Amino acid sequence: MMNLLVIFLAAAFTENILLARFLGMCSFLAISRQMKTSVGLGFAVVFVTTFTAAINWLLHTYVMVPLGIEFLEFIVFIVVIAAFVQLVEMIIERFSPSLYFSLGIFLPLITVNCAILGVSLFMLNKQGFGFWESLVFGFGSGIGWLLAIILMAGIREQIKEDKIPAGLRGSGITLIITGIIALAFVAFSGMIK
Amino acid sequence: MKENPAEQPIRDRLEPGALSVDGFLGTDKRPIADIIAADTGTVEAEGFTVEQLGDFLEKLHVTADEGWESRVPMYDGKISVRSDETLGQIPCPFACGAHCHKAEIAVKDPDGNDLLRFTPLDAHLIAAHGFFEGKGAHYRIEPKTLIALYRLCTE
Amino acid sequence: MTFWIAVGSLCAICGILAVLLVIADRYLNDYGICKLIINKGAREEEVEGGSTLLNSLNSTGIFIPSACGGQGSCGLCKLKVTAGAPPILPTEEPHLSKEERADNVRLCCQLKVHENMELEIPEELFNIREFNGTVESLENLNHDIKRLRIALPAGEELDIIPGQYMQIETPAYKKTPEPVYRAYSIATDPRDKTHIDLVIRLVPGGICTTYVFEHMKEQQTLALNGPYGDFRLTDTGKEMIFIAGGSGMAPFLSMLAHIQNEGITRNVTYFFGARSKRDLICLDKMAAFEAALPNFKFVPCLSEPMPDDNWDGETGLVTEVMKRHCPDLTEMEAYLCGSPGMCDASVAALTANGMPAENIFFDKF
Repeated sequence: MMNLLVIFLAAAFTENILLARFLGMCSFLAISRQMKTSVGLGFAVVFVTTFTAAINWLLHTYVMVPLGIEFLEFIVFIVVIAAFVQLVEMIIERFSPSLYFSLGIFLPLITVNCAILGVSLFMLNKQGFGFWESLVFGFGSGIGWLLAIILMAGIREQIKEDKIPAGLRGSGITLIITGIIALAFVAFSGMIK
Repeated sequence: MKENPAEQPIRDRLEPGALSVDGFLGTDKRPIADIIAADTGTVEAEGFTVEQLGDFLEKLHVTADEGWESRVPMYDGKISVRSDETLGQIPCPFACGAHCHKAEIAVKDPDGNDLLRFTPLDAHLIAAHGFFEGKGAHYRIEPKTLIALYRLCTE
Repeated sequence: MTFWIAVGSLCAICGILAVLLVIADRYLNDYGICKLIINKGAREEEVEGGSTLLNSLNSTGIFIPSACGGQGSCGLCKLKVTAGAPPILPTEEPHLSKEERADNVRLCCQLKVHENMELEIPEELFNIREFNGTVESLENLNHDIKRLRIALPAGEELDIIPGQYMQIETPAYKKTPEPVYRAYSIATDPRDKTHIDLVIRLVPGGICTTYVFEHMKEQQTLALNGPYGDFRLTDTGKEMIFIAGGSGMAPFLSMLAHIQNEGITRNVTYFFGARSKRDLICLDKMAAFEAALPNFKFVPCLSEPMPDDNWDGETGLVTEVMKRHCPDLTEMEAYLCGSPGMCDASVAALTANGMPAENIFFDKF
């Protein structure tokens, strides 16, 4: 149990997929302009990372390793992610059409969000991860991404009215802020050995 | 730089046959963002803003409208404007929700020489989107021409 | 060996995922049969859920005006939806004012039918029908205005109220990849129920008018739908002023024919604005109306008559001429048809001479 908590905290904070590894920046930069859409996309990412990590672990352990086809992991993982994003898209369209429209093109783009493929691949590098560990790792990474985009959306809503030098407006200032938040997250590194 | 996925539907509406017969891009093959960046760059290098120029055209359009298709002198007779109006409205191709009158406004100098021809949609496209239309488009306005006209009227 | 295992397992995985998605799609996108309750139960329609409200209504034979064909750019297909609608979508926002939002007005081309819906549709939209007419004649009225006469299919009749408009479909031709719809006022005598006359002015660069002027041939078929619009004569008995220019004459041709048919004796003065003599149209028709209707006066005004026009009529802006003729407008009504710029200028001139704003009616395209 303790072990799972540590995995979760590590994935969400010390190894934050966005702030420590800078993966998944494209949709992060584009969507973090608004809090509402950020939260929506964040939860979609949490959902997709959690389940794709678990499914990919199952496929890897019970299909690919026994058959000796680990070299296919990239293709298999991305296919699973693509199918899953389709599913999430259908669910969101059904239950929240307005979120569906405000996420627009970025919802299908989660498919090519490198953070999600990254989570599945990093999971394999961890020694001795079982099913539950993978599930929690995927969930933690998703939560980490959600946390980062919410932080950023909050800050961007605050600085919307501020005078920012023309050259830095938009993605420029966002990248700088991301860097500062990333520095702050380094402080978590002492939390877990 | 990845092409912004949001740009494709705009490009579709700017192509010939979508909103107007000849379209808004002419022979220009550049991405729309580049067209806008190049023209706004020219405008800003001259010390103007696109809003200023777009609002100026809108003022000419409003004045011309009051003339009910006759020639109206403006700026102490330095120019005169006349609007040829047709029924109907055209939506902004950038889908911002704006709708503009269909008309062609001809700006002439006191000797009757053409200085500029534009549509009310151009005034909106310049003010709101910094878009002067692509090179070779029928209603392409060269930023330099427009700035010269602005200076002629206001100085 | 490994190769075949790899290919086989990859295919298997993809196959399973595809089947899963198909099942999910069947379950998630199946909204079943939804009921559309129109005008508090006056009419009920059952439609397959999942499609837009505009298309669902079309499938039941109710045509909602839409100039853009459901792209969410024209904002014409507004309807009141009182129940069963999701929150306002970002694609609707630019078209809806604060009052309309409070009033549950929605763009029905954006809204999807996901459950039973209650909505209000103006009664006159139920009369709207679709036809495949035949172009009977195409006649030049002047250098840039044509009259298009369309015969309805044999056996079909259409009741119109003078002032209404039709939409015609410009088929895809070499300059446009998709059919587009454009609206034109009906100029037909309302007694003639088997024809539709439209007065069309060439719009430089316009998709539909370019088609009419360059490609349309007599005897070809043309799809049209209508009638739409609530621009019409009142029955207050007040003296009326008509103001129009160019192709804005269309609704007044229909209205004047109606006045003649019904023997209406209200005073009517029609101010027609044009630049020079070559822009005037239908002078013979106007002379005939003046002869038949003792209370009707046609006042063409030229703003820039050419020297060889030998013009001895009114000169100046139509708004100025109107002001000169009618110094006191407090007890009159005005009907305008023209471009928005013309309408705005006319409204300003009318109110300046005392006409209450609620007595001004216009078809502002």
